[in-house]
Amino acid sequence: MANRAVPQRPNGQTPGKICQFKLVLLGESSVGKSSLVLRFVKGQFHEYQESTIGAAFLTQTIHLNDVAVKFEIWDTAGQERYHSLAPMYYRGAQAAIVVYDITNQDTFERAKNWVKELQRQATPGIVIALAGNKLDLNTMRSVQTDESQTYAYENGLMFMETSAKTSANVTEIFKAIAEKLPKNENTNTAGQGRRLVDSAEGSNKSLSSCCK
Amino acid sequence: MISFKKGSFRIGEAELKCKKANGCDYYGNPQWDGFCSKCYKDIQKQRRMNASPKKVQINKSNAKPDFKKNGLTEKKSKLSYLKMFNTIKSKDDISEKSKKDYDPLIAKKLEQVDVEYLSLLSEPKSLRSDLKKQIRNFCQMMMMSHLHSPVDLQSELTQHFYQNILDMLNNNYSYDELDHEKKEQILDYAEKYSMIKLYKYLFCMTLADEEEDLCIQKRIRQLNWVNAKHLDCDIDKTNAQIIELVYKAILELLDMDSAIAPQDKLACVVRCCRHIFGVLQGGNNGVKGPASADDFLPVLIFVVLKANPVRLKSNLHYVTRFCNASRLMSGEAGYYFTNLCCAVSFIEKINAELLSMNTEEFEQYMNGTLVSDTWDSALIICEGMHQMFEQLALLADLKRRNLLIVEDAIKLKKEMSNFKDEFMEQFSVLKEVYTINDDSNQTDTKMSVSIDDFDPMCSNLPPWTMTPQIIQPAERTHTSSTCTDVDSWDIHSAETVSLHSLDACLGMSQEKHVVAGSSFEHTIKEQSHLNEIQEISIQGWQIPSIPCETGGKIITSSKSDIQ
Repeated sequence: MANRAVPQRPNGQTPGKICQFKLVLLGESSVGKSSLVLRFVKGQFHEYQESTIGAAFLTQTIHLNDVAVKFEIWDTAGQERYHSLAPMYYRGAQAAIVVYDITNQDTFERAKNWVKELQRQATPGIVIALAGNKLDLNTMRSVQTDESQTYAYENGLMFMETSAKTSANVTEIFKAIAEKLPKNENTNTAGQGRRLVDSAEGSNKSLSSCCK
Repeated sequence: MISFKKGSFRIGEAELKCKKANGCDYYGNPQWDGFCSKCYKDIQKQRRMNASPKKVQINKSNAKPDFKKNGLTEKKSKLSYLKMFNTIKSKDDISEKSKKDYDPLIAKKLEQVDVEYLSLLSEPKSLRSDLKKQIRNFCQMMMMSHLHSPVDLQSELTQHFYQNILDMLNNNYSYDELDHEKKEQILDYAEKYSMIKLYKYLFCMTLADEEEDLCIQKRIRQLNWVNAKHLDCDIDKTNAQIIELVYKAILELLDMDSAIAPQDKLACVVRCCRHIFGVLQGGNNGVKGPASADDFLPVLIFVVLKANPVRLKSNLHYVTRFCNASRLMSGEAGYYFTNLCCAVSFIEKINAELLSMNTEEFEQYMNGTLVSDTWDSALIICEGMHQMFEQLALLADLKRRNLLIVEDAIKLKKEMSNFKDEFMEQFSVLKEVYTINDDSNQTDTKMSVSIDDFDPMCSNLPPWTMTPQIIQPAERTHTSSTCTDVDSWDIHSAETVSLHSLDACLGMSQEKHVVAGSSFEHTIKEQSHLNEIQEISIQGWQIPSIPCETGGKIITSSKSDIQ
């Protein structure tokens, strides 16, 4: 199973340090979330390989100096109807990329909603990056760079305009996130586990009430 | 389809067989403590034999102590079943439970786990005993506490237990040489072993869990009209391969209930989700690219709706509570499990708006006044439908083949007509050629005159008239001299001579002459003819065919004469 690589090293005696982080992708369904990840993980755009089962769950490791940062990328369903399920995905995530389409103003508005939600409900200290995708369609742009830049600055987000098609800024945004993530403290899985169970209980209770 | 596809059996045959140690081959019955009727009788008898001496001694007044005792135990066992069913636990139950603690099936499963991890645990010698001790302590604690402590506390205790084992592995110097991977596996073992052992105490332990199970089951049943279209999921229902993958996913989801350890349940979820990705990729052909979560979640919801797994909520709760939390927070299994939770949560929330339909319609569907006319929902439920589609596919294939045959037949017909045309054409050409030939044959005799007319060689030929002056070979002087006399013999010889000289010109007709000439009786007739010929030849020697005909006449006449 892929879950074996959870870093559990309280002794801190390991020479080549591996840090694993959970990163969620949020964004409207057609903004190119999965293309972005596929470009980052497989270095491909549309040229799919058979080995790729799905673009929903992928892992990729990047090296920063002497630290290997392993990203576990969780894709989320972007359709409006599944919006309420998002908290279940970003629970326990250390990083999030909120993606919008620079040619579509609506996707930017929804991205703002997600950012608000993340800042309110997600793990405290979560690193949030805002990605304006489809930079290759610059001529059809409807969201101006200044606008999103100011928004990102005001809300303390990282911001980059990317293109999964030309791979512009794709690796860069992940690298920037990796740099910003705290790599010294150990991820306390037990604590997260508690939180998971608690919130699962909470949500289940609320859910069970609705079908009565 | 489901009937002939072998899913893993939810209840093994061994579980149903009589519990007698030696392996009585009959099936057991829970009413008889899992024994078959015969073995149960034997055991009852044995119990009575053991119990009766004491009982008789104690209550001599009691006339039928055995029966009462018998009735009591039966009642008690029945009661315990009722209790198990209702999951109402009382303190008296503990003794009962500890007595029943030995379940041969669980023991067998634990043995299997031991065997599976045997090599792993053998390395540092203290590991096995340390681990076993920890597990034993934990299990005892859980068994003692499971009746009166709340679920959350137990869940916390379990997570503590995992953490303790991890700490033990990380902090004890004797385990320093173990690498990270191995430690994870050891943790796996501890989790699996203890969870299998505690399964019946931890799974579906509260009334609330059971209520939730029934609630979601009812809810899904109500939503049976929801089809792929409502959920905007892209399933190619005409592709048999994809339909099979959907079935496989459903089976895996159903199997989750029969798995015992949390990681085994998770493995079922992972397999189910992998099949779904297969569906999204368009079967084995992999026509489409890797699917994103946008496509994946709707199909998962669809699969959950169509599978309607038993004790779904209990299973989810059990995994979230007692599975190692790190497993759920990260990794593929964690991701898929989260998706499953999302799917279930969505199903609980489903309303008209979420399915993008109007409220009235939704209500009507929910009340059952409106029945889904699309076959999507029926497809999964109804096996006959599936068979029909398989047969339709078969028919389509047959149709395709039939078309091929028809095509070939048309081709053949065309070829045949072509051949006929060609043949006719060739025939007509040949016919033309041959008719010309025929004409030429016919005209040959007639036209020979004209041919000869223009043939310069003809002038060189000797004239038809058999005048000795023209043909006078040196050797034949004596015949030529006699030729002047009109003598039958001489004429004959002269004729032959003349024939010789005419050979080239007249062809085979001369031979007839020769034959004619050989018959002596006709020489006179011949003579008269010859005279005629001579007359003709005087007029026009250019007609050489005439003697030919006369020759023919001679033959026929001679023949008739002979006859």
